[in-house]
Amino acid sequence: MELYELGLKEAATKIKNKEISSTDLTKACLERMNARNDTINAFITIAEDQALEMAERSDKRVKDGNPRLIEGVPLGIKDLFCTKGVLTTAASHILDGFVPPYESTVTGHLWDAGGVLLGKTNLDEFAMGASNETSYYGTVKNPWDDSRIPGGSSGGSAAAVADWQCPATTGTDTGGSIRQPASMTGIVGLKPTYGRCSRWGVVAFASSLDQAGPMARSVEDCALMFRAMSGFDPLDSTSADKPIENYDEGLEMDVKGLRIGLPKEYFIEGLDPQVKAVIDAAIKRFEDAGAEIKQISLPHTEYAVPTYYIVAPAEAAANLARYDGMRFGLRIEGDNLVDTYIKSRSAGFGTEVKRRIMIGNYTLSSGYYDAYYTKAQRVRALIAGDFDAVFEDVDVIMTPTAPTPAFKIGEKVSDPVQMYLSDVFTVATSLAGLPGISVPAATVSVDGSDLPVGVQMIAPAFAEKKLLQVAYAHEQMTNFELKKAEVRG
Amino acid sequence: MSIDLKTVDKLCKLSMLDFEASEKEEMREELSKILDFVSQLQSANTDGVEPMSSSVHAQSTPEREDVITGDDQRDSYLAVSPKSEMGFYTVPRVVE
Repeated sequence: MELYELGLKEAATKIKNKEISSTDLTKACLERMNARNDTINAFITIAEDQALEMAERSDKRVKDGNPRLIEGVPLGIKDLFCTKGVLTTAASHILDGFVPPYESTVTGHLWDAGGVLLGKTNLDEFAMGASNETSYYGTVKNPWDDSRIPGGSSGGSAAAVADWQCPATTGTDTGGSIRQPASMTGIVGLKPTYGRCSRWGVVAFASSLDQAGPMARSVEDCALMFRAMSGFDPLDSTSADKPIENYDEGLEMDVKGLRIGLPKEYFIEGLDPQVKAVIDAAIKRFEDAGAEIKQISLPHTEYAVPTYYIVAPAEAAANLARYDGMRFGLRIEGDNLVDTYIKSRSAGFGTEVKRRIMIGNYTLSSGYYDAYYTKAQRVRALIAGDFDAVFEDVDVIMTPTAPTPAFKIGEKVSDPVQMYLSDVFTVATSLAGLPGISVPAATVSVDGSDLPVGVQMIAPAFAEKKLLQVAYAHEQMTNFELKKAEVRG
Repeated sequence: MSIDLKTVDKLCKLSMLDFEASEKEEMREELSKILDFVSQLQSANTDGVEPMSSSVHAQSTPEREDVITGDDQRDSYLAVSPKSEMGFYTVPRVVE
């Protein structure tokens, strides 16, 4: 077994026990990344110098007898988190050369817990996309089949973990951006309850939806990463002032009597039959183990994607107004101040980002505001209410994570609405601010490629521990195996 | 629902964006398609439903004392700007 194949918890334990050093593990991951980045393109920046420096400090802590929670383990950070002294791009041309003078709270927590920054992972520009094809730094390839997308927007974070380049990464999820790529690359991805992880220092996309979360190869590693990165932050006014738990401990549960809801609106026409079969089999395993399966209804599900595509672009249009070429990033000089704004923004943003800014400004503009934006906010309340009602009767909801396995690069790029529908099973959870997790369930064969399919579980607000326990039970009952690309051939 | 080029021009102004003529027509078509798609919301019955602007489950927005926290970091912030001079951001001339 190669060092870089270690999971998060296992690696931290070995480092604390002085079986391996952080420097050895970090070097092994760097070597793997450098060897694979031309093929997979998971990283925008490989922070070799910082990584080795941080690893050295970690080794010193171990030597001094002061190891921390995830001591010495190298991590990939989605390039949407500001990292002090390390280029942060949001995969956008407009943030050219932006080296933040401050650290995001989430990454700060990870370094305080002993983590080592390996590099910044690729993503859709400003996290706007479901395939990683909108990145200014090029598309990320799915390690299972490099002619396919890894999902998005946290596609680099997903691919880095699935390609064994590092044990865990951070992602962000606004409408499915952690769960959908986790499903498409065969890893575990948790979108926590809105407010669990601080948004301070995370480049803003849609502030009422953005939520950071962990991605890893096992539920236990995901739980440990979550424990290290979450927690109340006075710098984020929407941060939840609630205690976090030792999420990685006590994951075993008896699923006997667990009430699992299956929303009929998620098992629709358009759901890939192979994906449906995988989800049905996962449900059957829970049923056989004694869980109580209930048919439920989330009647406003059909409105979730259109609601999202009003709310998110509106918030994005407001958030992205700050990119004016004056204070950071790209500046293209024009004839006057306004001309400089326009030239900088027109050159700096990619097509999808421009599309969303334009849509956002349309729905927020005088005469359309009530018909679109306020209407969407009302429907959002209905969608959230659907969940409140069913959680009276069930403990968790189980659904497919994405309607299809990973699709081909270029397949949906010319049809924005088709691309948006890739989030059909994840956006409602985001609109309601609830925690959701995607766990790999099985592989299916598509045109000769084995591709992973994930199952999504959704829980009430702040019930991440329960969610992780159910995910862990699923993992124990499933013989899914993530193999290295070299082994798969 | 189809929008015209005049609307696209207005949106460009609001968005501080500019497009080539061919891009503008493409943008017009795509925006029309997206607006078509999101317009299905009009069929949702929202009578008596209050708009939901946030999904904060935990508490109301806290307030803090209005005091200065942290150090003076003017220079480190100015250092990441494309142009600065004598402790200020530099912008194109706005007064003739």
